[in-house]
Amino acid sequence: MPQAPDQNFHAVVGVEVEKVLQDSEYATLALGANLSEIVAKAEEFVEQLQGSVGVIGSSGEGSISHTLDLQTAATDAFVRDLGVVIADNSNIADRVIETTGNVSEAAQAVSDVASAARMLCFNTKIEAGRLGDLGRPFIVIADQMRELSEAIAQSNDRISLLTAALTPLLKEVKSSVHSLQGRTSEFTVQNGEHREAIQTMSRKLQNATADTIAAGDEKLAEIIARSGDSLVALQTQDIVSQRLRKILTLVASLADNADAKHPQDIGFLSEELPPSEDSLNAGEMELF
Amino acid sequence: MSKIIIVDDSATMRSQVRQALAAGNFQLVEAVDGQDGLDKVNADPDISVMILDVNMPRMNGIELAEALSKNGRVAKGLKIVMLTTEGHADLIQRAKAAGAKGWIVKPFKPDLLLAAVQKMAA
Repeated sequence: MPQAPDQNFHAVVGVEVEKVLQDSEYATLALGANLSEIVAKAEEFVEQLQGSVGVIGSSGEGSISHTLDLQTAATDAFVRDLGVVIADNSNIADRVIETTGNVSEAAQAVSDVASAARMLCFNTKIEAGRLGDLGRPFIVIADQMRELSEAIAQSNDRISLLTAALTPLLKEVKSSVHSLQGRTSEFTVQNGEHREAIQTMSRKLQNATADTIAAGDEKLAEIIARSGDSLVALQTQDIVSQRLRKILTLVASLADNADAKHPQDIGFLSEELPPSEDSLNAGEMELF
Repeated sequence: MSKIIIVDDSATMRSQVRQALAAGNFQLVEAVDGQDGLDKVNADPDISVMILDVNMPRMNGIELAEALSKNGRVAKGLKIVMLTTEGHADLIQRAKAAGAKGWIVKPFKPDLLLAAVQKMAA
């Protein structure tokens, strides 16, 4: 005949099981709290990350993309204005060269007139010499006219020298303007290439930020799903603890050698119920 | 803001129900067993939803649901959702007869519980 269980033995087992249960409950609570904190931190991090990359990748006012567009538009406008100014200067240089040519032609005409005047003075002096004393005053006038025509010729020569010196200088100006025009055209082409590169980079940046945001959402959803699974595992741990506690109650009642408690008295409500196909299983829900 | 009472003798389970409902903008109250739950619901007419365990000391969840049905609180609009490891059809029928509006078997999925409580509180 089997011996009755030793009362001390049950008490010792009971204390030990109680300690295990307390440790288990503590661990379950701590894990649950940590899990919630991890999810909260992950949500916070993803929110911050999305905010930061959103600023970089956005296309609204104040964004990198918008600022680049403004800079490009300003550069384009400046280059256009510069082109207009250069074209104007080129036209002015052409007109100055043309006017200088006209001045040279006018100086040549004046030179011809001065030569004719000198010839006229010479003929006047010959004719005045034939008249003897009567022609003497004409000789004086003819000399003065010759001096005057020589002075005109000298001034004219000076004008011709100056216009001759001015023409190559003006041609140099025109050449510089043309060179500037060519450099501006090169800059326009380069600027277009840089703008295209920047726009490509901006598009890549926007795509990368969109990918980062999507990846953040995906990872967060994964963390939340996994934490949900972990919470279910923690609940299962708690359910195991509850059941152990009930078994412990039964063991204690046996150890006390008292009347064994009925399972329903300590919460095993379904123990005496017949099996049913309509029963719900773990994780299932029914709303009435 | 709806006031919800969580009646469960497990601190772990109450904590996990709290976490599951955190996104729902509810005011949450806790009770540690059936008798505590009955006292708190009787003392607070603003409680509109009860999440109720079955196996608890002093008074089990089915008895609590029946008491609230008898004292007229269920008829006044208190919605009871049973949250338990039990899933036997006879127990479900008893809870339903006492006016419970739902039955969820542990371990529960947090989003499922939140959806059920949001529906009850609406």
